[in-house]
Amino acid sequence: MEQTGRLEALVAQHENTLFRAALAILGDVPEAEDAVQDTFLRYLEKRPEFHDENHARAWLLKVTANGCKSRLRARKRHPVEELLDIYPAREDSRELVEAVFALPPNQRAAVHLHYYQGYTTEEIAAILGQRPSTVRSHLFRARAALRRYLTEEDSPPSDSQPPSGKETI
Amino acid sequence: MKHYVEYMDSVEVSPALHQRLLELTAPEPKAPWKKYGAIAAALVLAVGLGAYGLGQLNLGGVSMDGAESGIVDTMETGTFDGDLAGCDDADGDTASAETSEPAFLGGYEVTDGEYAVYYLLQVIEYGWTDYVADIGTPLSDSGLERDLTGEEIAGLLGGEDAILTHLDWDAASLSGYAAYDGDGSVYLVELSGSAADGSSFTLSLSPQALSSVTDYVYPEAVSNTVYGAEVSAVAADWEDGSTTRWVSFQTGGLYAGFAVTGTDSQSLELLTSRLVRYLCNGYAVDLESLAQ
Repeated sequence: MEQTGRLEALVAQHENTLFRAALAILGDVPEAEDAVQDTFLRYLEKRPEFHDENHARAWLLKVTANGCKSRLRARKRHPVEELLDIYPAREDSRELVEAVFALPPNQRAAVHLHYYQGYTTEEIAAILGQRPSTVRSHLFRARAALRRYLTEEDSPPSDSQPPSGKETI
Repeated sequence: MKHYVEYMDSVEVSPALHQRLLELTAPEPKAPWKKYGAIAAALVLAVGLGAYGLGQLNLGGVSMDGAESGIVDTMETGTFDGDLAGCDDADGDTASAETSEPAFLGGYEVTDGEYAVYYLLQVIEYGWTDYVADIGTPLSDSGLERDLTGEEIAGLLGGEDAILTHLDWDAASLSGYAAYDGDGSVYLVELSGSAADGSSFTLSLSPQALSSVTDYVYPEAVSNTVYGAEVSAVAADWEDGSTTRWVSFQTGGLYAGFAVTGTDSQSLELLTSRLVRYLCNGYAVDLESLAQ
C-alpha cells in the first residue's frame, strides 16, 4: 500500500515534467509516453530513496533521458507536424516550436533542460551523462540556430562559454 | 524562449497515460545468470608463448574482494545542487596500479591443428564507484547514422571465429550502429551483445576522444598500463546482485570504451581483459572500413 501511495505521489508530481522532457528529446508522442512509463517502471524496480523533491526529479529525468537515447536510434522519425496536431502551438509560438524540434536531439535536450527546466550546464551534464563542455557546445549551436527567436531575456547560461575561436551570440 | 516555455506548459500527459502509470507494478526479478565456464588456469603451452616469457609470469592476480555489497543505485543522496554525479573528488585524480611487472589472472588457449597458443590475460585493477552513470553517447549532430549488419560487425572485429575465440562473445547476439561526420568518415561505432556467460556489454569505438567513450573515466578509476596502453578501470555492484566493469583506453588511433554487466565478477574481469588484450595487442580495428 505504501509503495502504491509513493508511486501515486511521484506520478502526480513528475509525470508532466518527464513527459515534456521526453517529448522534447524524441519529438514523438507515443514514444515519449512509453519512455515515461519505462522511467516509472525503473523506479519500481530500483526503489531509490530520494533525499528531496529535487533529487527525485533529477533522478527521474536522468532515467528518462537515458531511455530516450536508445529509442532515438530505433525509432522511425516523425515530422513535427504530427506532434503539433496532438499538441497544437499558438500561432505566435509555432515557428519557434518548429525550429526547436528541427534541432538535433542532443541540442533539443540541452535547450529543454536549460530554458524550460532551468538547469545549469553542470546539472544538464549530470542528467544527460555528458561533459559540461559538451552541453555548452550543444547550447551554443542551438542558440545559433534559434538566434532570430531569442531575446535579451534569453541570455546564455552564466556558466557557458562558446567554443574557442567562435564569436559570442 | 518564452514561447517555448508557454508551449511546453500547455503539454500534459493524457488521461490514458496517467492511468497507465498509476497501474504500473514492479517488474519480476531477473533470472540468475549462467555461470561462466571453466577458466583456463593451467599453463599448457606448445608453441607461440606471446609477449611474456615463462620466467616473467606472476599469477598472483589481484584480490577480487574489494567489492562493497548493497550499493544503492541512486543518483546521489544529497540535495541536487549540481553534484548529481556523487563524485566528491573534484580534482579527478586517479589511482595508479602500475607495477614493474605485469600480473596475470589467467588466459585462454587457441588450438590450430597440432599447435596451441596460450594467451595470457593481464590483471586490470578497478576502482569502485557508487555512482551510476549510463555512458552518455553523443548523438551525431550530422544525423548520419546507420545500423551495422552482422557481417560488418564481424568484419570490423576480425571475423566470427576471432570474436568467439578471443573475445568469448556470442557473435549472433551482436548489434550496433555507426555514426558519421558530414564527410562520411566514421565518428562513432557502438556495439552491444552478450558473452558466453550470459553477461551483456557495450563497446564504443571512435577515432576521437568523444565524451561517450572517455566518460568511462571516473574520479575513482584506477589507471593501469596494459600492453602499453593506459587503461582506466572502474567497477560497481548493484542491488540486484549484478555487477559492472567499465574500461576506457586508447590504442593506436582508436579510443575505446567497454562496459560489461553480469553476476560473476571473475568472469566479467576475464572478458574485459580479453577485450583489452585483443585491441591493444592483437587486432587493429579499422573504423574507416565502414566509411561511406
